[in-house]
Amino acid sequence: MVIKIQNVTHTYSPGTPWEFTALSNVDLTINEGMVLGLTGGVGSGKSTLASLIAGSETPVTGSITIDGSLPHPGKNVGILPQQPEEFFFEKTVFADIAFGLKNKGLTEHEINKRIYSTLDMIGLDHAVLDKSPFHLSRGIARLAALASVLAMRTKYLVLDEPTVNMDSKSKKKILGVIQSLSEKVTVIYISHQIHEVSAISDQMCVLGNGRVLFSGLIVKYKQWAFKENKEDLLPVIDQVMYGLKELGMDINTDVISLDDAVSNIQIALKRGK
Amino acid sequence: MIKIQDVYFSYSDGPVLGGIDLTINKGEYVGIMGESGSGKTTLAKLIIGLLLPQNGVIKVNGISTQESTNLLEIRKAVGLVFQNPDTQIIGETVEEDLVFGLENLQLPVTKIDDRIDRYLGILGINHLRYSNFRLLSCGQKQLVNLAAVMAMQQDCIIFDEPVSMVDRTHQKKILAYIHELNRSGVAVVHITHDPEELVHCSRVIIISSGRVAYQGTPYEVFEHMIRNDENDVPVTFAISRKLGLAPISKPEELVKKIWLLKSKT
Repeated sequence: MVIKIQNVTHTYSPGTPWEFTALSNVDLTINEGMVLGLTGGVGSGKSTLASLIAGSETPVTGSITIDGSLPHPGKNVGILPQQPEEFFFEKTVFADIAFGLKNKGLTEHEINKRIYSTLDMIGLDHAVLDKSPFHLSRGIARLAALASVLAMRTKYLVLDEPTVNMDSKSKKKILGVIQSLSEKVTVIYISHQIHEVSAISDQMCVLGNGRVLFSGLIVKYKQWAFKENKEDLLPVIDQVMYGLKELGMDINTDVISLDDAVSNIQIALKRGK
Repeated sequence: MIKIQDVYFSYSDGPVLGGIDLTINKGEYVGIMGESGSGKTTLAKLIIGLLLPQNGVIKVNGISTQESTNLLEIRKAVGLVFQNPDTQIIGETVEEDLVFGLENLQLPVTKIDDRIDRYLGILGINHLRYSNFRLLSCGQKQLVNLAAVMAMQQDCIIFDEPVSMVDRTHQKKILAYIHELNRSGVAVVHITHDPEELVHCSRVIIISSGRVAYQGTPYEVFEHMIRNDENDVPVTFAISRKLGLAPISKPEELVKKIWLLKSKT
Protein backbone atom coordinates (compact mmCIF):
# COMPACT_ATOMS: atom_id res chain seq x y z
CA MET A 1 0.00 0.00 0.00
CA VAL A 2 2.02 2.93 -1.23
CA ILE A 3 2.25 5.96 -3.51
CA LYS A 4 5.20 5.67 -5.86
CA ILE A 5 6.41 8.73 -7.74
CA GLN A 6 9.11 7.79 -10.20
CA ASN A 7 11.24 10.20 -12.20
CA VAL A 8 8.37 12.62 -12.73
CA THR A 9 8.86 15.69 -14.90
CA HIS A 10 5.97 18.01 -15.68
CA THR A 11 5.87 20.94 -18.08
CA TYR A 12 3.02 23.42 -18.57
CA SER A 13 2.10 24.82 -22.02
CA PRO A 14 4.85 22.92 -23.87
CA GLY A 15 5.79 24.41 -27.23
CA THR A 16 4.35 27.86 -26.37
CA PRO A 17 6.06 31.06 -25.22
CA TRP A 18 4.72 30.22 -21.72
CA GLU A 19 6.38 26.79 -21.54
CA PHE A 20 7.36 26.17 -17.95
CA THR A 21 8.81 23.09 -16.30
CA ALA A 22 7.22 22.85 -12.85
CA LEU A 23 8.75 19.52 -11.77
CA SER A 24 12.00 17.82 -12.77
CA ASN A 25 12.92 14.19 -12.11
CA VAL A 26 10.98 13.86 -8.88
CA ASP A 27 11.27 10.53 -7.03
CA LEU A 28 9.30 9.96 -3.85
CA THR A 29 7.70 7.06 -1.99
CA ILE A 30 4.84 7.68 0.45
CA ASN A 31 3.99 4.75 2.70
CA GLU A 32 0.58 3.83 4.06
CA GLY A 33 -0.71 5.59 7.15
CA MET A 34 1.86 8.35 6.92
CA VAL A 35 1.39 12.11 6.97
CA LEU A 36 3.84 13.49 4.45
CA GLY A 37 4.48 17.22 4.79
CA LEU A 38 5.26 18.79 1.44
CA THR A 39 6.76 22.26 1.54
CA GLY A 40 8.87 24.65 -0.49
CA GLY A 41 8.96 28.21 -1.78
CA VAL A 42 6.50 30.04 -4.01
CA GLY A 43 6.36 28.32 -7.41
CA SER A 44 8.48 25.37 -6.25
CA GLY A 45 6.04 22.82 -7.69
CA LYS A 46 4.04 21.80 -4.59
CA SER A 47 0.59 22.27 -6.12
CA THR A 48 1.68 20.69 -9.40
CA LEU A 49 2.83 17.59 -7.53
CA ALA A 50 -0.46 17.62 -5.60
CA SER A 51 -2.58 17.64 -8.74
CA LEU A 52 -0.44 14.87 -10.30
CA ILE A 53 -0.77 12.63 -7.22
CA ALA A 54 -4.51 13.29 -7.18
CA GLY A 55 -4.81 12.34 -10.85
CA SER A 56 -6.10 15.78 -11.89
CA GLU A 57 -3.21 15.90 -14.37
CA THR A 58 -0.86 13.34 -15.91
CA PRO A 59 2.92 13.79 -15.74
CA VAL A 60 4.65 14.55 -19.04
CA THR A 61 7.29 11.93 -18.21
CA GLY A 62 7.69 9.43 -15.36
CA SER A 63 4.92 7.70 -13.48
CA ILE A 64 2.76 7.94 -10.37
CA THR A 65 0.99 4.90 -8.97
CA ILE A 66 -1.24 4.38 -5.94
CA ASP A 67 -1.20 0.80 -4.73
CA GLY A 68 0.01 -0.14 -8.22
CA SER A 69 -2.83 1.67 -10.06
CA LEU A 70 -3.04 5.06 -11.70
CA PRO A 71 -4.44 7.85 -9.48
CA HIS A 72 -8.21 8.10 -9.88
CA PRO A 73 -9.75 11.16 -8.18
CA GLY A 74 -12.63 10.24 -5.87
CA LYS A 75 -11.85 6.51 -6.10
CA ASN A 76 -8.40 5.89 -4.69
CA VAL A 77 -7.43 9.47 -3.85
CA GLY A 78 -9.17 12.67 -2.79
CA ILE A 79 -7.85 16.21 -3.14
CA LEU A 80 -8.64 19.44 -1.38
CA PRO A 81 -7.31 21.97 -3.89
CA GLN A 82 -5.73 25.23 -2.79
CA GLN A 83 -8.83 27.31 -3.47
CA PRO A 84 -11.61 24.77 -3.00
CA GLU A 85 -14.24 27.52 -2.78
CA GLU A 86 -13.94 27.85 -6.56
CA PHE A 87 -15.19 24.31 -7.02
CA PHE A 88 -18.57 24.80 -5.36
CA PHE A 89 -21.37 24.59 -7.87
CA GLU A 90 -24.57 23.55 -6.06
CA LYS A 91 -27.18 25.75 -4.38
CA THR A 92 -26.56 24.40 -0.89
CA VAL A 93 -23.60 22.97 0.99
CA PHE A 94 -25.57 19.75 1.46
CA ALA A 95 -26.06 19.30 -2.29
CA ASP A 96 -22.39 20.02 -2.92
CA ILE A 97 -21.17 17.37 -0.48
CA ALA A 98 -23.85 14.92 -1.64
CA PHE A 99 -22.84 15.21 -5.31
CA GLY A 100 -19.79 12.95 -5.09
CA LEU A 101 -21.57 10.49 -2.81
CA LYS A 102 -24.48 10.13 -5.26
CA ASN A 103 -21.96 9.40 -8.02
CA LYS A 104 -20.52 6.70 -5.78
CA GLY A 105 -23.96 5.08 -5.74
CA LEU A 106 -24.79 5.62 -2.06
CA THR A 107 -28.45 5.56 -1.00
CA GLU A 108 -30.17 8.68 0.33
CA HIS A 109 -30.02 7.30 3.86
CA GLU A 110 -26.30 6.51 3.54
CA ILE A 111 -25.62 9.96 2.10
CA ASN A 112 -27.38 11.72 4.98
CA LYS A 113 -25.56 9.58 7.55
CA ARG A 114 -22.19 10.13 5.86
CA ILE A 115 -22.68 13.91 5.60
CA TYR A 116 -23.77 14.40 9.22
CA SER A 117 -20.98 12.20 10.60
CA THR A 118 -18.38 14.03 8.51
CA LEU A 119 -19.60 17.41 9.76
CA ASP A 120 -19.46 16.13 13.34
CA MET A 121 -15.93 14.87 12.73
CA ILE A 122 -14.70 18.34 11.77
CA GLY A 123 -16.93 20.16 14.23
CA LEU A 124 -18.97 22.05 11.68
CA ASP A 125 -22.50 23.12 12.64
CA HIS A 126 -25.19 21.23 10.69
CA ALA A 127 -26.91 24.57 10.01
CA VAL A 128 -24.29 25.22 7.32
CA LEU A 129 -25.83 22.48 5.16
CA ASP A 130 -28.80 24.63 4.13
CA LYS A 131 -26.65 27.63 3.27
CA SER A 132 -25.39 28.62 -0.15
CA PRO A 133 -21.70 27.67 -0.42
CA PHE A 134 -21.14 30.98 -2.20
CA HIS A 135 -22.14 33.06 0.83
CA LEU A 136 -19.87 31.47 3.41
CA SER A 137 -16.85 33.14 4.94
CA ARG A 138 -13.61 31.73 3.61
CA GLY A 139 -12.88 29.76 6.76
CA ILE A 140 -16.28 28.09 6.89
CA ALA A 141 -16.21 27.50 3.13
CA ARG A 142 -12.86 25.72 3.54
CA LEU A 143 -14.28 23.45 6.23
CA ALA A 144 -17.29 22.69 4.00
CA ALA A 145 -14.93 21.82 1.12
CA LEU A 146 -12.88 19.60 3.43
CA ALA A 147 -16.10 17.87 4.48
CA SER A 148 -16.91 17.03 0.86
CA VAL A 149 -13.45 15.47 0.40
CA LEU A 150 -13.51 13.54 3.68
CA ALA A 151 -17.05 12.29 3.02
CA MET A 152 -15.70 10.28 0.07
CA ARG A 153 -13.61 8.18 2.52
CA THR A 154 -10.71 7.63 0.14
CA LYS A 155 -7.58 5.97 1.54
CA TYR A 156 -5.27 8.68 0.23
CA LEU A 157 -5.82 12.38 0.75
CA VAL A 158 -4.00 15.31 -0.80
CA LEU A 159 -4.60 18.51 1.15
CA ASP A 160 -3.19 21.58 -0.58
CA GLU A 161 -2.77 24.43 1.93
CA PRO A 162 -5.92 23.40 3.83
CA THR A 163 -5.58 26.07 6.52
CA VAL A 164 -4.81 29.15 4.41
CA ASN A 165 -6.86 32.17 5.54
CA MET A 166 -8.38 30.32 8.48
CA ASP A 167 -8.55 31.47 12.08
CA SER A 168 -6.69 29.56 14.78
CA LYS A 169 -9.80 27.71 16.00
CA SER A 170 -10.57 26.40 12.51
CA LYS A 171 -6.91 25.55 11.94
CA LYS A 172 -6.81 23.52 15.13
CA LYS A 173 -9.97 21.74 14.07
CA ILE A 174 -8.47 20.76 10.73
CA LEU A 175 -5.15 19.68 12.21
CA GLY A 176 -7.05 17.66 14.83
CA VAL A 177 -9.10 15.96 12.13
CA ILE A 178 -5.98 15.01 10.18
CA GLN A 179 -4.31 13.61 13.27
CA SER A 180 -7.42 11.64 14.17
CA LEU A 181 -7.77 9.99 10.79
CA SER A 182 -7.39 6.27 10.95
CA GLU A 183 -3.89 4.94 10.52
CA LYS A 184 -5.02 3.53 7.22
CA VAL A 185 -5.46 6.96 5.69
CA THR A 186 -2.37 8.44 4.09
CA VAL A 187 -2.20 12.20 3.93
CA ILE A 188 -0.06 14.43 1.74
CA TYR A 189 -0.21 17.76 3.56
CA ILE A 190 1.02 20.71 1.53
CA SER A 191 1.79 23.93 3.32
CA HIS A 192 4.30 26.72 3.62
CA GLN A 193 3.28 27.17 7.27
CA ILE A 194 6.34 25.39 8.60
CA HIS A 195 5.27 25.20 12.25
CA GLU A 196 2.00 23.64 11.16
CA VAL A 197 3.28 21.15 8.61
CA SER A 198 6.19 20.01 10.76
CA ALA A 199 3.90 19.55 13.77
CA ILE A 200 1.67 16.98 12.11
CA SER A 201 3.98 15.23 9.64
CA ASP A 202 5.87 11.97 10.06
CA GLN A 203 8.00 12.71 7.05
CA MET A 204 8.89 15.87 5.13
CA CYS A 205 9.65 16.61 1.52
CA VAL A 206 11.02 19.99 0.46
CA LEU A 207 10.77 21.14 -3.15
CA GLY A 208 12.84 23.90 -4.72
CA ASN A 209 12.55 24.90 -8.38
CA GLY A 210 10.69 21.70 -9.11
CA ARG A 211 13.28 19.39 -7.58
CA VAL A 212 13.41 17.46 -4.32
CA LEU A 213 15.81 19.28 -1.97
CA PHE A 214 15.11 17.08 1.03
CA SER A 215 13.09 13.99 1.79
CA GLY A 216 13.14 12.18 5.12
CA LEU A 217 11.89 11.89 8.68
CA ILE A 218 10.83 15.00 10.57
CA VAL A 219 13.76 14.90 13.05
CA LYS A 220 16.26 14.69 10.22
CA TYR A 221 14.40 17.48 8.44
CA LYS A 222 14.93 19.97 11.28
CA GLN A 223 18.62 19.07 11.54
CA TRP A 224 18.97 19.46 7.77
CA ALA A 225 17.21 22.85 7.70
CA PHE A 226 19.39 24.20 10.50
CA LYS A 227 22.61 22.80 9.05
CA GLU A 228 21.84 24.17 5.60
CA ASN A 229 21.05 27.62 7.08
CA LYS A 230 17.48 27.38 5.81
CA GLU A 231 16.03 29.08 8.88
CA ASP A 232 12.88 30.01 6.94
CA LEU A 233 12.15 26.28 6.77
CA LEU A 234 12.41 25.85 10.55
CA PRO A 235 9.55 26.60 12.97
CA VAL A 236 10.37 29.65 15.15
CA ILE A 237 10.44 27.48 18.26
CA ASP A 238 13.16 25.27 16.69
CA GLN A 239 15.09 28.33 15.48
CA VAL A 240 15.35 29.40 19.12
CA MET A 241 16.31 25.94 20.42
CA TYR A 242 18.89 25.21 17.69
CA GLY A 243 20.19 28.79 17.96
CA LEU A 244 20.87 28.31 21.68
CA LYS A 245 22.55 24.97 21.07
CA GLU A 246 24.77 26.48 18.42
CA LEU A 247 25.94 29.13 20.89
CA GLY A 248 27.13 26.29 23.08
CA MET A 249 24.21 25.91 25.49
CA ASP A 250 23.75 22.40 26.83
CA ILE A 251 20.09 22.12 25.85
CA ASN A 252 17.69 19.45 24.63
CA THR A 253 16.40 20.76 21.27
CA ASP A 254 13.79 18.05 20.83
CA VAL A 255 10.55 19.88 21.70
CA ILE A 256 6.98 19.41 20.62
CA SER A 257 5.34 22.32 22.42
CA LEU A 258 5.99 25.78 23.75
CA ASP A 259 5.89 24.54 27.33
CA ASP A 260 8.52 21.93 26.42
CA ALA A 261 10.74 24.64 25.00
CA VAL A 262 10.40 26.89 28.05
CA SER A 263 11.05 23.99 30.40
CA ASN A 264 14.17 22.91 28.45
CA ILE A 265 15.46 26.50 28.43
CA GLN A 266 14.93 26.80 32.20
CA ILE A 267 16.75 23.50 32.79
CA ALA A 268 19.64 24.68 30.62
CA LEU A 269 19.80 28.01 32.45
CA LYS A 270 19.90 26.25 35.84
CA ARG A 271 22.77 24.06 34.66
CA GLY A 272 24.89 27.21 34.46
CA LYS A 273 24.44 27.96 38.14
CA MET B 1 -8.58 59.44 7.15
CA ILE B 2 -11.25 56.70 7.39
CA LYS B 3 -14.25 57.10 9.68
CA ILE B 4 -16.64 54.20 10.19
CA GLN B 5 -19.69 55.13 12.24
CA ASP B 6 -22.27 52.69 13.53
CA VAL B 7 -22.09 50.52 10.40
CA TYR B 8 -24.38 47.53 9.94
CA PHE B 9 -24.13 45.01 7.14
CA SER B 10 -25.92 41.71 6.51
CA TYR B 11 -25.75 39.18 3.70
CA SER B 12 -28.87 37.25 2.73
CA ASP B 13 -28.10 34.56 5.31
CA GLY B 14 -27.35 36.73 8.31
CA PRO B 15 -25.76 39.82 9.83
CA VAL B 16 -22.00 40.30 9.62
CA LEU B 17 -21.35 43.76 11.02
CA GLY B 18 -23.52 45.01 13.87
CA GLY B 19 -22.90 48.68 14.58
CA ILE B 20 -19.14 48.94 14.17
CA ASP B 21 -17.31 52.20 14.97
CA LEU B 22 -13.73 52.64 13.88
CA THR B 23 -11.33 55.41 12.85
CA ILE B 24 -8.15 54.91 10.85
CA ASN B 25 -5.86 57.92 11.09
CA LYS B 26 -3.49 59.25 8.44
CA GLY B 27 -0.23 57.31 8.39
CA GLU B 28 -1.42 54.77 10.95
CA TYR B 29 -0.55 51.05 10.82
CA VAL B 30 -3.60 49.17 12.02
CA GLY B 31 -3.87 45.41 12.32
CA ILE B 32 -7.27 43.73 12.28
CA MET B 33 -7.84 40.24 13.63
CA GLY B 34 -10.97 38.19 14.22
CA GLU B 35 -12.40 34.74 13.71
CA SER B 36 -13.54 33.49 10.31
CA GLY B 37 -16.84 35.18 9.49
CA SER B 38 -16.31 38.04 11.95
CA GLY B 39 -16.65 40.64 9.18
CA LYS B 40 -13.03 41.64 8.46
CA THR B 41 -13.17 41.24 4.68
CA THR B 42 -16.68 42.74 4.55
CA LEU B 43 -15.33 45.79 6.35
CA ALA B 44 -12.52 46.13 3.80
CA LYS B 45 -15.00 45.99 0.92
CA LEU B 46 -17.20 48.58 2.62
CA ILE B 47 -14.30 51.00 3.05
CA ILE B 48 -13.52 51.09 -0.68
CA GLY B 49 -17.22 51.23 -1.59
CA LEU B 50 -17.50 47.76 -3.11
CA LEU B 51 -20.32 47.18 -0.62
CA LEU B 52 -22.52 49.87 0.91
CA PRO B 53 -23.48 50.06 4.60
CA GLN B 54 -27.10 49.17 5.24
CA ASN B 55 -26.99 51.51 8.19
CA GLY B 56 -24.35 53.98 9.37
CA VAL B 57 -21.76 55.94 7.42
CA ILE B 58 -18.24 55.39 6.11
CA LYS B 59 -16.20 58.42 5.10
CA VAL B 60 -12.81 58.45 3.41
CA ASN B 61 -11.09 61.82 3.68
CA GLY B 62 -14.48 63.25 4.57
CA ILE B 63 -16.20 61.77 1.49
CA SER B 64 -19.07 59.33 2.02
CA THR B 65 -18.88 55.94 0.25
CA GLN B 66 -22.68 56.05 -0.22
CA GLU B 67 -22.53 58.27 -3.34
CA SER B 68 -21.42 56.38 -6.43
CA THR B 69 -20.00 59.65 -7.86
CA ASN B 70 -17.44 59.63 -5.01
CA LEU B 71 -16.09 56.17 -5.76
CA LEU B 72 -13.27 57.28 -8.07
CA GLU B 73 -11.96 59.70 -5.42
CA ILE B 74 -12.22 57.04 -2.73
CA ARG B 75 -10.36 54.45 -4.77
CA LYS B 76 -7.66 56.95 -5.64
CA ALA B 77 -7.13 57.34 -1.91
CA VAL B 78 -7.55 53.75 -0.70
CA GLY B 79 -6.38 50.51 -2.30
CA LEU B 80 -7.34 46.96 -1.38
CA VAL B 81 -5.25 43.85 -1.89
CA PHE B 82 -7.84 41.09 -2.03
CA GLN B 83 -7.62 37.90 -0.01
CA ASN B 84 -8.23 35.73 -3.06
CA PRO B 85 -5.78 36.74 -5.82
CA ASP B 86 -8.05 35.47 -8.59
CA THR B 87 -10.82 37.93 -7.72
CA GLN B 88 -8.51 40.90 -8.27
CA ILE B 89 -7.18 39.94 -11.68
CA ILE B 90 -8.02 42.09 -14.73
CA GLY B 91 -5.36 41.46 -17.38
CA GLU B 92 -4.23 38.29 -19.09
CA THR B 93 -0.54 38.81 -18.39
CA VAL B 94 1.08 40.18 -15.26
CA GLU B 95 2.07 43.36 -17.09
CA GLU B 96 -1.47 43.95 -18.42
CA ASP B 97 -2.80 43.55 -14.92
CA LEU B 98 -0.55 46.23 -13.50
CA VAL B 99 -1.12 48.53 -16.51
CA PHE B 100 -4.89 48.54 -15.97
CA GLY B 101 -4.88 50.36 -12.63
CA LEU B 102 -2.11 52.74 -13.63
CA GLU B 103 -3.89 53.72 -16.87
CA ASN B 104 -6.95 54.58 -14.80
CA LEU B 105 -4.75 57.04 -12.90
CA GLN B 106 -4.04 58.58 -16.34
CA LEU B 107 -0.29 58.27 -15.93
CA PRO B 108 1.97 58.72 -18.99
CA VAL B 109 3.28 55.51 -20.56
CA THR B 110 6.87 56.02 -19.39
CA LYS B 111 5.74 56.46 -15.79
CA ILE B 112 3.57 53.36 -16.02
CA ASP B 113 6.57 51.41 -17.26
CA ASP B 114 8.77 52.74 -14.44
CA ARG B 115 6.24 51.86 -11.77
CA ILE B 116 5.72 48.33 -13.10
CA ASP B 117 9.45 47.80 -13.17
CA ARG B 118 9.87 49.21 -9.67
CA TYR B 119 7.12 47.28 -7.90
CA LEU B 120 7.72 43.95 -9.63
CA GLY B 121 11.37 44.45 -8.62
CA ILE B 122 10.48 45.18 -4.99
CA LEU B 123 8.57 41.91 -4.80
CA GLY B 124 11.25 40.03 -6.73
CA ILE B 125 8.98 38.97 -9.60
CA ASN B 126 10.30 40.96 -12.58
CA HIS B 127 10.82 37.65 -14.35
CA LEU B 128 7.03 37.09 -14.32
CA ARG B 129 6.22 40.38 -16.12
CA TYR B 130 5.07 38.73 -19.37
CA SER B 131 3.71 35.54 -17.81
CA ASN B 132 0.09 34.48 -18.11
CA PHE B 133 -1.50 35.21 -14.72
CA ARG B 134 -3.67 32.09 -14.79
CA LEU B 135 -0.61 29.83 -15.05
CA LEU B 136 1.04 31.21 -11.91
CA SER B 137 1.02 29.49 -8.54
CA CYS B 138 -1.26 30.96 -5.85
CA GLY B 139 1.74 32.46 -4.07
CA GLN B 140 2.98 34.11 -7.27
CA LYS B 141 -0.52 35.49 -7.94
CA GLN B 142 -0.56 36.99 -4.46
CA LEU B 143 2.76 38.72 -5.14
CA VAL B 144 1.45 40.10 -8.47
CA ASN B 145 -1.65 41.51 -6.77
CA LEU B 146 0.44 43.16 -4.08
CA ALA B 147 2.57 44.79 -6.79
CA ALA B 148 -0.53 45.92 -8.72
CA VAL B 149 -2.04 47.71 -5.72
CA MET B 150 1.20 49.10 -4.33
CA ALA B 151 2.06 50.58 -7.76
CA MET B 152 -1.05 52.78 -7.44
CA GLN B 153 0.69 54.65 -4.57
CA GLN B 154 -2.49 55.45 -2.64
CA ASP B 155 -2.58 57.19 0.77
CA CYS B 156 -3.98 54.08 2.42
CA ILE B 157 -3.72 50.41 1.50
CA ILE B 158 -5.80 47.63 2.98
CA PHE B 159 -3.99 44.30 2.89
CA ASP B 160 -6.39 41.40 3.36
CA GLU B 161 -4.25 38.39 4.40
CA PRO B 162 -1.33 39.64 2.27
CA VAL B 163 1.10 36.80 3.00
CA SER B 164 -1.22 33.86 3.51
CA MET B 165 -0.16 32.06 0.34
CA VAL B 166 3.56 32.70 0.24
CA ASP B 167 6.56 31.01 1.86
CA ARG B 168 8.29 32.51 4.85
CA THR B 169 11.11 34.07 2.82
CA HIS B 170 8.53 36.05 0.85
CA GLN B 171 6.47 36.69 3.98
CA LYS B 172 9.40 38.41 5.66
CA LYS B 173 10.14 40.44 2.55
CA ILE B 174 6.54 41.58 2.11
CA LEU B 175 6.02 42.39 5.78
CA ALA B 176 9.23 44.42 5.83
CA TYR B 177 8.05 46.29 2.76
CA ILE B 178 4.60 46.99 4.25
CA HIS B 179 6.34 48.32 7.34
CA GLU B 180 8.58 50.53 5.19
CA LEU B 181 5.56 51.72 3.20
CA ASN B 182 3.91 52.79 6.44
CA ARG B 183 7.04 54.58 7.61
CA SER B 184 6.95 56.56 4.36
CA GLY B 185 3.53 57.90 5.43
CA VAL B 186 1.07 55.45 3.86
CA ALA B 187 -1.73 54.36 6.20
CA VAL B 188 -1.90 50.55 6.34
CA VAL B 189 -4.77 48.33 7.37
CA HIS B 190 -3.47 44.78 7.73
CA ILE B 191 -6.09 42.05 8.07
CA THR B 192 -4.84 38.67 9.20
CA HIS B 193 -5.41 35.61 11.37
CA ASP B 194 -1.76 35.44 12.29
CA PRO B 195 -0.67 37.72 15.16
CA GLU B 196 3.01 37.17 14.20
CA GLU B 197 2.38 39.52 11.26
CA LEU B 198 1.19 42.37 13.45
CA VAL B 199 4.13 43.07 15.76
CA HIS B 200 4.98 46.33 13.95
CA CYS B 201 1.43 47.75 14.01
CA SER B 202 0.72 50.91 15.96
CA ARG B 203 -2.69 49.50 16.91
CA VAL B 204 -4.31 46.08 16.68
CA ILE B 205 -8.08 45.66 16.64
CA ILE B 206 -9.95 42.45 17.37
CA ILE B 207 -13.32 42.20 15.68
CA SER B 208 -15.90 39.84 17.10
CA SER B 209 -19.56 39.43 16.17
CA GLY B 210 -19.32 42.39 13.83
CA ARG B 211 -18.02 44.91 16.38
CA VAL B 212 -14.71 46.04 17.85
CA ALA B 213 -14.13 43.71 20.79
CA TYR B 214 -10.71 44.93 21.89
CA GLN B 215 -7.96 47.23 20.70
CA GLY B 216 -4.50 48.20 21.86
CA THR B 217 -0.80 47.94 21.01
CA PRO B 218 0.29 44.53 19.65
CA TYR B 219 1.68 43.46 23.02
CA GLU B 220 -1.45 44.62 24.86
CA VAL B 221 -3.53 42.58 22.44
CA PHE B 222 -1.32 39.49 22.87
CA GLU B 223 -1.67 39.83 26.66
CA HIS B 224 -5.43 40.14 26.21
CA MET B 225 -5.44 36.99 24.08
CA ILE B 226 -3.52 35.03 26.71
CA ARG B 227 -5.93 36.25 29.43
CA ASN B 228 -8.76 34.88 27.27
CA ASP B 229 -7.06 31.50 26.84
CA GLU B 230 -6.21 32.23 23.21
CA ASN B 231 -2.63 31.09 23.19
CA ASP B 232 -1.80 31.58 19.53
CA VAL B 233 0.33 34.61 20.23
CA PRO B 234 3.75 34.93 18.56
CA VAL B 235 6.11 32.21 19.81
CA THR B 236 8.91 34.62 20.73
CA PHE B 237 6.44 36.74 22.72
CA ALA B 238 5.13 33.69 24.58
CA ILE B 239 8.63 32.36 25.42
CA SER B 240 9.98 35.74 26.54
CA ARG B 241 6.88 36.29 28.68
CA LYS B 242 7.21 32.88 30.35
CA LEU B 243 10.89 33.53 31.07
CA GLY B 244 10.02 36.92 32.60
CA LEU B 245 11.76 38.88 29.83
CA ALA B 246 10.52 42.02 28.07
CA PRO B 247 8.55 41.19 24.89
CA ILE B 248 10.79 40.14 21.99
CA SER B 249 9.64 39.66 18.41
CA LYS B 250 12.65 38.19 16.58
CA PRO B 251 13.97 34.67 17.30
CA GLU B 252 17.62 35.71 16.95
CA GLU B 253 17.07 38.50 19.52
CA LEU B 254 15.44 36.04 21.89
CA VAL B 255 18.39 33.65 21.51
CA LYS B 256 20.80 36.49 22.36
CA LYS B 257 18.74 37.55 25.36
CA ILE B 258 18.60 34.00 26.76
CA TRP B 259 22.30 33.57 26.14
CA LEU B 260 22.98 36.76 28.11
CA LEU B 261 20.87 35.38 30.96
CA LYS B 262 22.96 32.20 30.86
CA SER B 263 26.20 34.21 30.90
CA LYS B 264 25.05 36.05 34.01
CA THR B 265 24.34 32.83 35.93
